[in-house]
Amino acid sequence: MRKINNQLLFSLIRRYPFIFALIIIAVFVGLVEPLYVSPGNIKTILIQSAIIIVLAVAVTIPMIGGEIDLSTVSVAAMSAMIAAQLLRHTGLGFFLVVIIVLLAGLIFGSFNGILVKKRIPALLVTLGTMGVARGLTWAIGARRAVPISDSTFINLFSSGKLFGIDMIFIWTLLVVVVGYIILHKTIFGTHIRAAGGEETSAMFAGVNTRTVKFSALLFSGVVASFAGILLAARVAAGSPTVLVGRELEAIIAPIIGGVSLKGGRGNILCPVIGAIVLSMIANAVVILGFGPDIQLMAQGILVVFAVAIGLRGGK
Amino acid sequence: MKELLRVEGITKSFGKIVALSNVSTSIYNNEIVGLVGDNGAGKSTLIKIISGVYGPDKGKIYYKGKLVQLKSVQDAMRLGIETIYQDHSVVPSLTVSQNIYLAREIYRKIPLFKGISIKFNDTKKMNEESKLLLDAIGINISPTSIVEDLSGGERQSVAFSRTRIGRIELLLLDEPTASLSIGETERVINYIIESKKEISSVFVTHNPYLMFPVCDRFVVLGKGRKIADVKKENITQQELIKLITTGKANNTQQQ
Repeated sequence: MRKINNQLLFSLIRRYPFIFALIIIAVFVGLVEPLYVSPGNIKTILIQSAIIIVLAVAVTIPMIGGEIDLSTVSVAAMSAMIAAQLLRHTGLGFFLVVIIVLLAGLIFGSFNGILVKKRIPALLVTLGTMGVARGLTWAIGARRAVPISDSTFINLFSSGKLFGIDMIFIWTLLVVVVGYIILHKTIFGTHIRAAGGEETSAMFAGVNTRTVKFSALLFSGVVASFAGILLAARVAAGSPTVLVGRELEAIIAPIIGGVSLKGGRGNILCPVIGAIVLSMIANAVVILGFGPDIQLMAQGILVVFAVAIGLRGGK
Repeated sequence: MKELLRVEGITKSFGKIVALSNVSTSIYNNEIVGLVGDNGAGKSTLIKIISGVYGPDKGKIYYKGKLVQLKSVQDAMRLGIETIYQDHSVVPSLTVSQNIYLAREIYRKIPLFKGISIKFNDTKKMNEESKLLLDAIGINISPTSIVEDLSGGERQSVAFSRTRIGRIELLLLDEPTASLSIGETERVINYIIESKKEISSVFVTHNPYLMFPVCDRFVVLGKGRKIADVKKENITQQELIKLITTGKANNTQQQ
């Protein structure tokens, strides 16, 4: 019986190594500093994770489809700035503001998708749009932060509560559920995994892999702009420097969670786990009194481990 | 015998490389045609043109006497043309039933707004149907198994099951036994012979010893051109091998 339990444990560790990393970090840091595992701090970690979870879900869909989207964080920053400017300078209701912001994400997503459909490597295309979106963020904000004072907007997308739960969690959960349905329940989801898993086989079977990849990047753009709305509500502003230097976190999170960088493999829990692990490390570094140097190194080591485990297991 | 498919004057180039030059041939009902030739002869290119992967630069394709345009794999499948490839017949990271029904999923349509709906996989139905298809060819594997956990032979069985979903009339086999064990190869060969009662097949392989007993006729390609089109009763195995290696045919073999 004990042998079977051990086998089960090892198989679980092999399958979800970073859930165990998550537990180990919690236990280790919690023993050194009990404050780390207090309900208040756990909530802080989850709030810090929320936007990265949404961005990581955006990245996961094209990543499983065999393409990378580096632009999501910048598109989110730009979207937050658009929302801030519209709320501050126009009389548009927040519903219309949300629609306009999502349209901006749709435009960026389609642009990425069209170029990738024309067989230009996604790495280069989205590196370019990452820069363009950040540049637009500066331009739209006239090089300064734009505060948001619309409390309805802030409550609806961040600090308001539904059944005692912060709205930012509700929206994050909604994005994860939508991602789950798309990836695991729809024909499109199967085609994404086929296109990323073995593109030629998928193409020979009759899957239009180019259109699938276009749609995956389109989805990524829209979800990134939705992350921008959550971001604007969370910090009550649009800022040209928001999330600067954190562009790769949305890419790293799904990899840490187990999505294959080569495509085809992974599930919707991967970006969630990865984003929480990243936030736990960032929070632990602060609680333990270390600086950002240690945080970056710890995250870097984690990525190398995640990729190595992924390559060894073919998963 | 009635003609099922005819290709006429097919030419295909990739940049400066001429893969096929003015190739014409026919496939008749209930026959197995061996498409043979050395490396670079143009066999796989011709298979990919008939299966809708590539469009020809020049030439025409007739199916049951009608001129057809095969602009996609789906176009070919709609006519009843199914293909099994050596390396690209399955997606290893998907399940058996996802592979069998890939691009032809059984789905439930749920409407969102006017005219917009989401197609949800009917996984239960696809698993049940896949089990029946696998049972029909005598393979005992679970429809929910991940294909990368299967042996080469089992993977090819999944690919064969795929071809049975549609209304198959012509089966194209591009080196289907290249990575299989002897036992698995025998099973594939038996399947091809059995299928002849209902459908036609075009069999591409490097191994003339394997294909000779199976095929009714041989179309020999060399450097993108048709060298010979010969019935089995008019050629010996040794002559066929010589034809493939030398690329030269005599008058009898040119029929």
